[in-house]
Amino acid sequence: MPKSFLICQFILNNVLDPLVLLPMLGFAWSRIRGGFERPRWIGPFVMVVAFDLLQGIVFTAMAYRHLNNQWFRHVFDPLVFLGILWILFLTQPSSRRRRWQYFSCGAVGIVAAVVGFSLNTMHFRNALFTSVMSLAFLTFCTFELRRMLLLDDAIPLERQPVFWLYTGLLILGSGTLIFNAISNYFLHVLPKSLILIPWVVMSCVYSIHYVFIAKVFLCRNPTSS
Amino acid sequence: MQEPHLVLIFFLTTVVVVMLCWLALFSLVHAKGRIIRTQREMLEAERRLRLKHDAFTQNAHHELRTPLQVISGNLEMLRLMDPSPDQEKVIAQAIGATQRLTTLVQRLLDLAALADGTLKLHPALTNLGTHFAVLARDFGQSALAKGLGFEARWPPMDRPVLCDAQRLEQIVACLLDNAVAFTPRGSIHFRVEGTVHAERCALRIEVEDTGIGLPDDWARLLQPFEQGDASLTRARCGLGVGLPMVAGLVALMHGRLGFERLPIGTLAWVEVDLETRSTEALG
Repeated sequence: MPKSFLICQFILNNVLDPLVLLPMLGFAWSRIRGGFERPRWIGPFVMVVAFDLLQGIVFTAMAYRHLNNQWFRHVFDPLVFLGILWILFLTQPSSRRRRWQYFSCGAVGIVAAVVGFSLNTMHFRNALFTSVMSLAFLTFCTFELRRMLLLDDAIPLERQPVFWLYTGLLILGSGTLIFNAISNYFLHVLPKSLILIPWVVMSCVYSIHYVFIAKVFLCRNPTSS
Repeated sequence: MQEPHLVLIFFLTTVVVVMLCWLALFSLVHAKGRIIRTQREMLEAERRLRLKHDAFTQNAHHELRTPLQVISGNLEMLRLMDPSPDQEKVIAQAIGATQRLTTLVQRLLDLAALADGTLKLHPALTNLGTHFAVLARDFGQSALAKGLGFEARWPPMDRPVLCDAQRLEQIVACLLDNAVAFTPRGSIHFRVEGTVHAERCALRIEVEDTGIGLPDDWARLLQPFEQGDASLTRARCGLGVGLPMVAGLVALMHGRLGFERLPIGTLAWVEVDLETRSTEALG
């Protein structure tokens, strides 16, 4: 086994993968200590994060047992995507236009998941769907952040949970877009010595995302002056 | 392309994208923080300005009105000291100027009180006919002195109404004052119509003149310190506080104020809905 492969595997397994627990740890800490903001969408968001964590654990466990786990991702990634879209939708007051935008995006995601599955088969990543997912997060979060900036309120952005949610998803969407588009190509062409490097890079991006998602639960309640 | 190069390009591109993302978010947070700071500074400046405004209003009561009252009293005393005809003429001019200044100061104070919501109405049962008669007499004299015709007409006020007669008089006086001031020739009509229905009296007061008329953008005259002609060579002096005060008082009475441009001159009207009582209520 090449040395670089072993190093990457070590980093992935022992340093980056455990960071997937950060969001739930953040949530647990916020419940234990109290005094943190709890907007109305935080409950459904916890459910989505917990579901994502659960399917991530199953996926990793299948990998450790050398089972083909791509089909698992093909099935559960779209569910997580729809869950996050639902949360993004809940973060702002509903309107006809907004409902239409999010519903359309969800429908496009489902179509991409089905088409991507038939294109990439059960043995490769669903490049089409994951790219669409990244693009959707990138687009929606950019618009939501712009709207937040223009909002006439006096609360600094960094004190609002929703800001960290948008930011986390924006970094995830922008950082993973290229990887999602060409990951199957990597699987085809990269030698074993290099194959895990893109996955390490992606795990770093995911780690930043997890830190931001943990911060969603750790925004202090505003104190009255 | 060699595979290590491919991986390197991918790595660098991802790093650049994430860094750009960070930079954009940092700029966003910084910009929002600056907006909030600016908003706070503006609110603080507005608060300080309001405090100064309140302090000025309080001081103005004492520092402007009290000396004017003293001057006015002294001038009246001088007039009683058997002055020569020349002296009497000078004293009369001084009294006239003092009265104008007193009115102006009072209007400024009223306007300030209207602006910060401290001006309150003091409704009482009153016979408005008496007040209209006083107004017609005073402004009739002013109009005649200027060579204008003056016609006043109001219905018999059988029932007393509940209103702040002093403030209503102030409104009508201001409209009549403007009519006299801005009418070089012709006549002024002062009309009152009252419709009594179920213990309510809908009062419509009209002041019609044959003066210079309203400018196209007359709505701005309802804003404080606006003048029809703001040039230094304008025909009539003033601070532009009369109509804003009228508008404020009418609003306070839940009434309506309007201006209509006539072929020659202007029609100003005020509508207020007042409560009526039987004549015995006056005692």
